[in-house]
Amino acid sequence: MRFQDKAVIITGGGGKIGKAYAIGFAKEGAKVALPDIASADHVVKAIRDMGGTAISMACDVSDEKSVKAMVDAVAKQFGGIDVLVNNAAYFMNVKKSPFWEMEVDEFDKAMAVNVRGSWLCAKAAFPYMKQQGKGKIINISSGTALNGGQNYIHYVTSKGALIAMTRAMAREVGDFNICVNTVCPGFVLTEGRQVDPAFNANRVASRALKRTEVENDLVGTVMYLASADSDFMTGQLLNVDGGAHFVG
Amino acid sequence: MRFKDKSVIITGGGGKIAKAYAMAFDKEGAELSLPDIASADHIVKAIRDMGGSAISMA
Repeated sequence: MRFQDKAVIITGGGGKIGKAYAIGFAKEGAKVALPDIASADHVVKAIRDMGGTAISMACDVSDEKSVKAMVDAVAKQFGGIDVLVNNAAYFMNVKKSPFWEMEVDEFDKAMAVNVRGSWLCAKAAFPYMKQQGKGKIINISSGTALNGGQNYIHYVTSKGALIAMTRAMAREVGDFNICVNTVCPGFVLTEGRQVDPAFNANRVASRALKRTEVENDLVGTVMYLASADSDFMTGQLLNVDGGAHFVG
Repeated sequence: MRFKDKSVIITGGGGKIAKAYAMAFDKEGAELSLPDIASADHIVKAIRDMGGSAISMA
C-alpha cells in the first residue's frame, strides 16, 4: 500500500481520467478527495464499494474562494494534504475555431480554469504541504502543447502554460521539500468517447507504440510522481503518449 | 511486491549506484542478475543474506 493514509486531491475527479487516477490511488490505500464542478459522486461510490476512502465536493477551480474552501475542508477531514493532482480542465466542451475567429470570453475561460485553476489549487494546498515538510503537486498538461493542436489556441496555450508554471513553482517550493512535475497525456480515447475512427487511427499511427491510449495508461506515471520513488525529481515533464513525441 | 519473480539484469551491478538499484528491486521481489567486469559478489551476498535472489557473472 504505497499511499496508505495519504491525502490526495484529484481535481476534476468526476471525469473519466480523474476516476482512473482516483481508483489507482485508492487501491494503494490513499484517502482521495474529488472536487469537481460536476458531480464525482459515482467515483466516490465506486471507491467506497471497494472499501476505500473518498469524498467529493462541488468546486469551481477558477474561483479562489471555492478552491480555498475545498482545500481547507479536505485538509480538515483527512488531516493534511500530501498530493495535489491538477487534473480539472476546460476541455470536453471547448468551442473550436481558428484563433482569428475565437471570442475573448472563450479564450479567457480556458485560461481561467486550466491555468488560474491549477495555480489556485496549488496556492491553497501549499500551506499544508509546507507544514508537513513535504508534498507533491502534479500538473496535467497535454500533448497538444508539444505539437500545437489546431483550432483551440486557448486550450493549447493553457496547457503550455502549465509546463512553465510547473518549472516556476518547482523553484519556489524546493526549499519546502515540495516537488512539482507535469504529465503530458497524448490523445486519450476515454471509455465511451465518440470520435471519428480515422482521427484515432492517425493518432495511433503517430506513436512508437501503435495502440489506442486509454485512461489507465496515465495512472502509473501520475502515481510515480506522487510517490517517494520520485523524491529527487521536480520541475520535470513526463510525456505519456506511446512515443508520439520525444521530449528532453 | 511490484517485481515478484521478475528477472532483472543490472549491468555494472557491482558499483555503488547499481547496488542501490539492486537492493530496491530485491525488496520488491525481483530475481537479480548483476554482470560486471569487476566483481559483484559482495552485492549478491548482501541480497542473499536478506533472503533475496541474485547472481553475478564477469
